[in-house]
Amino acid sequence: MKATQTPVLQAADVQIGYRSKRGAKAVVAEHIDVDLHAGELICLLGPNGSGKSTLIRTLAGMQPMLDGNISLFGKHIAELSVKEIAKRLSTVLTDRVTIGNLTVYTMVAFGRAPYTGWLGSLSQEDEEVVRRAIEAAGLRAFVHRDVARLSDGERQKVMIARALAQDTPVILLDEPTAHLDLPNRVEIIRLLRRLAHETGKGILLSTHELDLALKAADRIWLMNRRQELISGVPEDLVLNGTFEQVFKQDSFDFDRATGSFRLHQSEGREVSLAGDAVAVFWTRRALEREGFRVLEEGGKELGITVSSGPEAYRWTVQDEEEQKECASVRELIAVLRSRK
Amino acid sequence: MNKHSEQHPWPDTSLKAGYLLLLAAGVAVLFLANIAFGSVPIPLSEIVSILISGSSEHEAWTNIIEKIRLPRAFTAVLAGSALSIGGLQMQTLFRNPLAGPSVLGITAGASLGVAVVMLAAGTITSIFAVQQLSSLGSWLIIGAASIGSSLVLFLILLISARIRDSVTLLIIGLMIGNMTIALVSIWQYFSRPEQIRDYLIWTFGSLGGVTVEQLWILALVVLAGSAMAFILSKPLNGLLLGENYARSMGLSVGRARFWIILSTSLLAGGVTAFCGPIGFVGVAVPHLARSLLGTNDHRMLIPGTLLMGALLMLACDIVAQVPGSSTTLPISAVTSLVGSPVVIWVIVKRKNLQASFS
Repeated sequence: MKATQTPVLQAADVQIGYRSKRGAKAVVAEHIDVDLHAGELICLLGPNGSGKSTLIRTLAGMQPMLDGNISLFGKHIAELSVKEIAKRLSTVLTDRVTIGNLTVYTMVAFGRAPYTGWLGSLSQEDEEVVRRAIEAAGLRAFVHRDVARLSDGERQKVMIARALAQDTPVILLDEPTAHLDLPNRVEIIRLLRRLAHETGKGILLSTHELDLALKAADRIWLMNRRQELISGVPEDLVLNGTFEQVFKQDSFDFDRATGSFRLHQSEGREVSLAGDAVAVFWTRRALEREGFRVLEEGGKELGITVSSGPEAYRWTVQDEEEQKECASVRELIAVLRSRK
Repeated sequence: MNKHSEQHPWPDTSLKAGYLLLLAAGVAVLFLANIAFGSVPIPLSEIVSILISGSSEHEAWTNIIEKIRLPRAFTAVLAGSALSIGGLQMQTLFRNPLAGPSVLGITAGASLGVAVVMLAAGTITSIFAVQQLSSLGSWLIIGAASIGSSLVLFLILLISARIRDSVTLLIIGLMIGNMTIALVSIWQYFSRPEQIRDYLIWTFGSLGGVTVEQLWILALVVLAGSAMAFILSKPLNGLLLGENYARSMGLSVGRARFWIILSTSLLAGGVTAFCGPIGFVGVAVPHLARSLLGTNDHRMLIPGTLLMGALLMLACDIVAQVPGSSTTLPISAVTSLVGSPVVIWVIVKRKNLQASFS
């Protein structure tokens, strides 16, 4: 279905970066061919310095592209005025907004700027859009609050509500979940996902939250350090090894099996682990931290079995000589260490 | 849902004129008080009659009110409003609570112009004396100050077209101001003491030297600058979130910045040309207005700042005239002496300066 629609935002062979005074180009990424469709949530991932912010600023028309063509609803972005862009595309930036003496309502209402007259007074219709935006972002209880007295998560939601009030079919967000705690991160992503699917907006957000991105994104744009951008459905990118390639570094790797980063190199002794699924998941972490290579099939000289007892989990360590019972991961680790 | 909306009613976003009317009433009262106080005691009833019908028992009283006190009071209103609105615009543009109308070096430019005229001419003592008597000398000084501030303004606009970053522009403005002051100081070093004295007197600032005909020009300049500022309310509001956000909301930041700088230059340059450098008001009044109105919305803040500036300047001028005596204190010193404690008090009491620019 999506393939038949024209994309709301499209980049064709775009080269992004900076141009110095003398005309020399500092290319950040090139040959970018991507599109964003209505109702789609896309996460832009990539290591630091791969050009995520540059790409977002370029797509938002804030920074000139070096080469290529970006179109919003089929129109070249360079031919649109700032105001015309603002009616089609809103942006949430990483710029910290430190201003105070403004209520949440007024701040969200600033999003109506492209539609209001020279003085910026709100019409009845503007007010309704602002109210809907505040309710969609779950900020109803905060309307009278000074934006300076909000937590980081609340302020981020205000900036998102302001983008919603701008009532654009495309929203770009540069790291909206940075500096937020886990519940807030989940809430923001969930909110954006709901907005994309329910209101048919095309939403692009850059993030470092690999876990959340893999779970929430309809598609992922992955930037690597070789100035490339790879686009695809998250699961495809995991299964075809793109993730591992992009995030491959000396000290840690992307783990295809868990969809997260492996902090520890498990090159050490092999251990087989079996039993209750939840307990196995967490025990595996502890073992990897201890330097073991964990295998799920049995038959190794060192084997651990987890069973869920009536009250708690129990770990059984089995090697050639003896068998030991442990009541906690701590005990388990102690036993394993004593064997060394 | 119903309960929800009762607990958190939607705000009324229409502009509230309550505080503004209060401020306007305050300006009216202080305006009258400003006229009433002076070295020659004139009964209040006579003042009212002169203001209304233009006649009085004593011809001299009519002259004093019409030729001296009214222009002086009007000058105070214009200077206070202009410097305050200039300061507000600079604080918003540079997102810096310490910015004022002088940050771009415009005041320094005016000083350089005046210094050139006063210190270069050999018979400068007479020129300053002329300023008090005929219009020629004062026009010379006004002209010099205007040319000085316009030159700096032109330089700043030229630079601002090339530099997109406002903080860089702020620093460049400060540096230009420093260079200008350094030039003046070199000039002073090679000048005779009496010449320096005249220049120093000019730097104390004065609201009393503006004649009726000059007042019209000053009024025109201030009106133009203030109108520009009010028309810029919407981009100024957008700039509160920073230039990138302003641009993302469809505001042409470059154009807005040009007009903001032009407006501030007219306001600050005009007042400095006619009244000399008057410090402090431009930095302090926007904070007082924000504190009183509890908002950063420029549609409210600009009229509020305008009235608050007029109010503060009238009050300072009353103090400067030292009611009941024939002495007059330099206005620039009084604005700082009277204004600083007020601002400290407001900041400590309301604690919301920090909230504006944390």
